[in-house]
Amino acid sequence: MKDKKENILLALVEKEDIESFSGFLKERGFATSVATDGARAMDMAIDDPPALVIIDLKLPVIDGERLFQILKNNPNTSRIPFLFISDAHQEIRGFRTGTDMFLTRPFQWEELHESIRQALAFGREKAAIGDKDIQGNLSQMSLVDLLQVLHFNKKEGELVVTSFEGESGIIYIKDGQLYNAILGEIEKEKALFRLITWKDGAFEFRPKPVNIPKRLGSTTGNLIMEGVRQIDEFEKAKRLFPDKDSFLKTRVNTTTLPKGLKPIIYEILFLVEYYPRVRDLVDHCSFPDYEVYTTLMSLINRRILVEVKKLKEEKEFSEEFVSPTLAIRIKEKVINRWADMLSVNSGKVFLVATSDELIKEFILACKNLPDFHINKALLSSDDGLLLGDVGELRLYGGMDIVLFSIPPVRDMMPMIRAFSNNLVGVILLWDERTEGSAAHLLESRKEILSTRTVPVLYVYGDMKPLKSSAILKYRSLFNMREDETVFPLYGKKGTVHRLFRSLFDNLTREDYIQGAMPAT
Amino acid sequence: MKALKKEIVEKRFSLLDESKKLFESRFYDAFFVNEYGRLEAVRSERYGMPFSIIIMHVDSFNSPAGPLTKKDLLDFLKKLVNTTLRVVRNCDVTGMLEDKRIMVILPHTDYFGSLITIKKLRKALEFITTKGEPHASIIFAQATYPRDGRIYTDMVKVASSRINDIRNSLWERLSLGEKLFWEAVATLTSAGLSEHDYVNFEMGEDMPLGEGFVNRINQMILHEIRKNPKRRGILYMGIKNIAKDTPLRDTLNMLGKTATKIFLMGEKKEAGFDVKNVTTIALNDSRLSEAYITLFMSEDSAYGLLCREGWQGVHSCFHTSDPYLVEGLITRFQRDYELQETF
Repeated sequence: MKDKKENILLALVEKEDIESFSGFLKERGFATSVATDGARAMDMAIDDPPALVIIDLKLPVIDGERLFQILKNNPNTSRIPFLFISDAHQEIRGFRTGTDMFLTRPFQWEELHESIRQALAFGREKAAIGDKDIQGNLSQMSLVDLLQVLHFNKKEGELVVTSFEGESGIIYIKDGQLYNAILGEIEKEKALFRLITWKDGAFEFRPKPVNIPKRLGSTTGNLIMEGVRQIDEFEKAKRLFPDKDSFLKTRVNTTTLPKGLKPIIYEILFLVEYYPRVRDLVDHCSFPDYEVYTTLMSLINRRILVEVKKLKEEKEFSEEFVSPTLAIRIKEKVINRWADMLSVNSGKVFLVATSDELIKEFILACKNLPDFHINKALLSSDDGLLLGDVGELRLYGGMDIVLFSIPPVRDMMPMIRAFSNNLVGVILLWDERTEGSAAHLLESRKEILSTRTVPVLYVYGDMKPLKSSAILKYRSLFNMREDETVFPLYGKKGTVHRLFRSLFDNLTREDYIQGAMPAT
Repeated sequence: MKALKKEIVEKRFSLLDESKKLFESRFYDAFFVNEYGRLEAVRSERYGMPFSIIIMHVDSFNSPAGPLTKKDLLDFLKKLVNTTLRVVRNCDVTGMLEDKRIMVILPHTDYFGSLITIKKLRKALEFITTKGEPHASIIFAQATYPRDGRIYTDMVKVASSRINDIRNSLWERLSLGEKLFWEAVATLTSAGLSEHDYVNFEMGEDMPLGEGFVNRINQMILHEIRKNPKRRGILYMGIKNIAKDTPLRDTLNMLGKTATKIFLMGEKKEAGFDVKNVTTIALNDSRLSEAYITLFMSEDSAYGLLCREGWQGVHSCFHTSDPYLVEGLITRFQRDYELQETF
């Protein structure tokens, strides 16, 4: 049976428009129907709902905007996307960003074709199961069931899953087979098995050609069975696993490990030096969570790893690092500061350092902060440019503090203003070896403070202890205010905690908002 | 009674002067405009809605025919006011703010809405600004509640200070408005600038910055969009040719619905390239295959990067955070390629 062509209703006035749209759409395999007034267009849309309405706002009898309101409120036609055309841009009440489109004359036909393609794709997403897109809620249909349906129907496209917290993952499917799964920075089986555990959230399947290599090594059936098995096993054994917040120490020299061990063992023993906390280690290991936990158990039983409870100091800092009250005050401050009525969910801190190594050392020092996430991809990239989000600290109430590295070179100055939205602070980093470049830090500080008035924190990143004479020297060099301090990165434990506490305390202080640049 | 009340209101607040009959009754005096602005700020606070103001500043006249008479100036003002009133909506309030300055208050209008109104005004006023006799230079500056202030007088201050910013913008200084897009690109990429908002640099293999820089910048912008999906914005990314293996593809796929309009452009487009929420445009212009273009405007920032490939793969680049320059380049690009003139 021949496929039915998608019908597009042309509710247009000008004869020229009708002819050019009809010809253009027919050439691209669409069927068209034409109405030259709003009443006729309404009848036609209700009798046989089209895939898309292309509508002139100057339609007689019922104008374009009014017709849109009527059809949008009719349950049988509410899902139809509208493509408005007019001579000049105008606001349309109820315009659905992401569904409806607005184009002004003259048209660039390729751009127009793209807009029609997108509008139709949105429309399909809202349609029912069949050859069309699928969307729904995980509480109504589990991911396992959904994957099986897509597998049996040999579907091709992207399955996007979004949790209520706003985290989203993608599963790529081709010919019913699972090609890859991506969740944040993780992918393959680990991402897939994590996604399978999600009980709440939304999903949408977008049919489209998948042109990526297959990175999931097994068949769909086997992957689903393995995922479900691992989840069941995890549930049964989880009380035997090390506590997520406990810390691990290795008792072997990781540089002289014997050959022939399982790859997961090498990876865990390598990672444990950087991520001693179990939760962080599991997140950063590329193997599925259950496999990581069982391997950890095995290594602990063989006394290769030792589980240590939180150090007293770390516990003290992590528990009292940022209280819910302080986190809410920070969020309020950021919202007020940026006067943004849309949901503000992040504040940015610029990291400006005299060398990239200092940024990396600083981020490593932050890794034990509660809910701190490192952007490994950027830190390990070899393009020689440490520019952008290098880490993120998640506070109570869904507020993220993003650490944004920006090189202190004159060529990068326009980036400061362009990326300083939601800026809440600046951290300047230097060490004895690179203190000669302090002038660049000063220049960057001046540039940043001319754009935004934010607290500045000073971090000395040298291993050598910071003597009082050096403190005086740096205070003078950076022309620091009396209430500002030099934080030594390698001093007492908890420097990073104190540094962030100082930043947040400054941020929530009333005078900070009116604060000016340091006296020059 | 109603008619009498109307007459009193008109006499009180409008510049309708029966003896001169200069303006329509919808053109108000500074007292009314300022009072209305204050009330609009209160209303916006109460209902959590944005609103914008536009100040139209008559900067200078160019009259080859000689000095302007009072009549010339009045004729000019009449045309300016009548055209403005024709362009703005019925709900917008227009009036004289002070000498040489006209104010338009746009209720329920966000930053991009006000930019669209400025575009409309600029286009409608071309007949007295660039084609008329005398030519007049008009600067349009805007401010939006709450991004530029929660108090009306603060918004007026912001808009007034922007008049100076616009005057000092490279867009005005280099008269880029009179140039075609690629002429502007050539001017900017060879300007040798190192000011805080405008920097030229070179990019290429064996140089401190390689072509990976463009990808890094684009990824950063997409990341910003992903972090703030509800903020309106527009992004044009010219990546020479739209290929399936572009490193941006995964990031674009992960974006989801966003209020930012994203356009990916190139000279050619590889068949089967399809990313949701992104409009891909192959413009069949060989100049695009030798340049990287990133033009990004959001509600609170702007960034523009232009790189032209030269000899031995070295790119001459220019980048800026000047919103007027970025807006000007976007508008010029849209016009030259007959793309949708929207934000």
